[in-house]
Amino acid sequence: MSETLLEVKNLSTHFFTERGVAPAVDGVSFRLEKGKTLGIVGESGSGKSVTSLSIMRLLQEPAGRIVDGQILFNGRDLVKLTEKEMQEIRGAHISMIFQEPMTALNPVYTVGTQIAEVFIVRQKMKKKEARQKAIEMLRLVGIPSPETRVDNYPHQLSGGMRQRVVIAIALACNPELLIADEPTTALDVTIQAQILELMKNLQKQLHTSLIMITHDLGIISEMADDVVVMYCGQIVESGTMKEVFHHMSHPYTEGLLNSIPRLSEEVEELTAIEGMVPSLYDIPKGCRFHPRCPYAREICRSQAPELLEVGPGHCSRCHRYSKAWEE
Amino acid sequence: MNMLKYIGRRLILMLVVMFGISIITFCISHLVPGDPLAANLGQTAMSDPEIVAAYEAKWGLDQPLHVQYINYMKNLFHGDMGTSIRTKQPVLSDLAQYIPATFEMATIATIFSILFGLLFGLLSAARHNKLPDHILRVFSLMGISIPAFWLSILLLYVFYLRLGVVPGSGRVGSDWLGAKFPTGFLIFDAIAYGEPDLLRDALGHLILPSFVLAASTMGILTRTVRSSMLEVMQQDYLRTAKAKGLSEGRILRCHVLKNGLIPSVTMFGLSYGSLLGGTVLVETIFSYPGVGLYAYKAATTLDFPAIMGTTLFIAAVNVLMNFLVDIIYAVIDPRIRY
Repeated sequence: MSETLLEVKNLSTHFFTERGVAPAVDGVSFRLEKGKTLGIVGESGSGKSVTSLSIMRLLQEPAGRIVDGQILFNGRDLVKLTEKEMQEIRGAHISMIFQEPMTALNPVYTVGTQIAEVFIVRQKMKKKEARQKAIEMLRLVGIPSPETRVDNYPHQLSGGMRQRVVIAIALACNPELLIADEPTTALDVTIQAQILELMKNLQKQLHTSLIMITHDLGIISEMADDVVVMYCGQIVESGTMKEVFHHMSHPYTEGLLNSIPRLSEEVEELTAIEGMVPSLYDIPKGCRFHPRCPYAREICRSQAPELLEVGPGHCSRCHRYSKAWEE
Repeated sequence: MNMLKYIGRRLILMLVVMFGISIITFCISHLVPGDPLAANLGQTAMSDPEIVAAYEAKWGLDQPLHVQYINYMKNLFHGDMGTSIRTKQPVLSDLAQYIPATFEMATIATIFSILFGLLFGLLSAARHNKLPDHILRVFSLMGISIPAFWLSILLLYVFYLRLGVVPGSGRVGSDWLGAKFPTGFLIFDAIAYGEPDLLRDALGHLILPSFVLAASTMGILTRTVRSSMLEVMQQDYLRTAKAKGLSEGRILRCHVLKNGLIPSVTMFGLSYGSLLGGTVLVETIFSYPGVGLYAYKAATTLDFPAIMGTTLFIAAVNVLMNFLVDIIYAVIDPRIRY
């Protein structure tokens, strides 16, 4: 039995706005073991990014607040930490890569300065030494001629290069956990593959645990050991990658998979999931997925389903696996 | 090398702009309905055609406008801005006499407005929508909307008439009237020659007019700095900085400030020019012997050479400030290529 690095228990994060309360994350629980990769999948608005921002405690306060639950990182509850204690964790123990490499770097500093800043602030290094380390990091993430690139400004680099720089910043202090929030969504397909390959290699090399957030099941099948599928702020299916992919149990996961174009099969047209993610201010009664679900029955409209075990370590939030379904 | 080329190109453009300004000013000041004769000659002299003709010939008023302009520009390139009709002194020496006074006032006002504009703007942004922000918003709005003449009168009434803590008008107190100052920059002279009394006296005379001059700029700068800082705070790269585990203070100092200052730098530069323009009103109210008061008197007597001289001077300062702003821009924002 390997060690647990991160355990999220019953996490609820709500946004308090003029339009009302939006439960962006609603009772989410999962575990991540050391050195493993957890994939969080869902459409935009499903709460996957808010989950990661909650772990980093980077929510736009005071509008967004963790209202319930625990985030145990090495047994320490991050929810209870002060901002100052959290600053010690961020960057050093938990790092994050964001979706938009084009805007994730500060335009007025060289990439070298931005990487070196981590070493200067977190490890109290001298400027010169930090610069050397920054060059090393650039080499590590596969940027050619790092000695000259270190003095480049972000606008002088391509999107893929910038994402490599962002990864270099995130990995600078060799964190135990790396959260990647759609790290390849904004990149060209060819670059996507390179970046994913790089992340996989670095993860092996540095023994980092990884949370991979994406809407792309293809990426999950490539990278993840375990999968959590989110919809409307809740987990609708979770389990090991193999279990979930081979014994897919939730109609939403099915829908996500069917909407991926595949070359191997001759399909007349792609099946998209009907409808849209409902507004968080107006969540459907009963099962949150029922307005878009092809199997929906009366019970789905009236009763919210529980997360039920459908296989070894494999859970699904669907009435089809409850006794009430056939009645 | 690129930078030098850029500076060179900008310098040539500056000359073109100044040339344009000289034409416009010359035309406007000569085309306004108003008779320089009536403004400068007495009634008996006006009725004598010989005196009128002699006067027109002396000041070149009998020539067609374009000839007058060409003559003026010719003299200007020889360092001669003409002779003031009102003071009978060369405009250049008049300006040389008044520029130090105005320079002192405008500089102190600029320091006031940039210092407080920056400070208040930052504070407002850092405490966005909290009490300090609300208070500062009221103050900056007051600074922008209270007219300078009213503020001058109010301040004079309270601090001069009622409290008596500052001198009322002029540049120096009666003890120093008629004294010769080596450079004319009183604060500099007082410090260089060790005259603490003069320093106190000069600063006392400067404080109210500089404050009035600074008030609206301070308000505008507070708003500009606030909004540009708030905009920067929404940027993705600040989330990256937070994810690095940087403290809030370091993020504000290192990541927000430099980006947020870029739009404000324009305002800083332009504010100096508008402050110079503002001196016309403030110097008149405070009887402060500077370029503004000189310009006011020149305008009311249709003293063409003096009007041209002061306008060209203020325009030159404005153009120069714009030029400096562009250079500073290029230095702090690496994305700007020349």
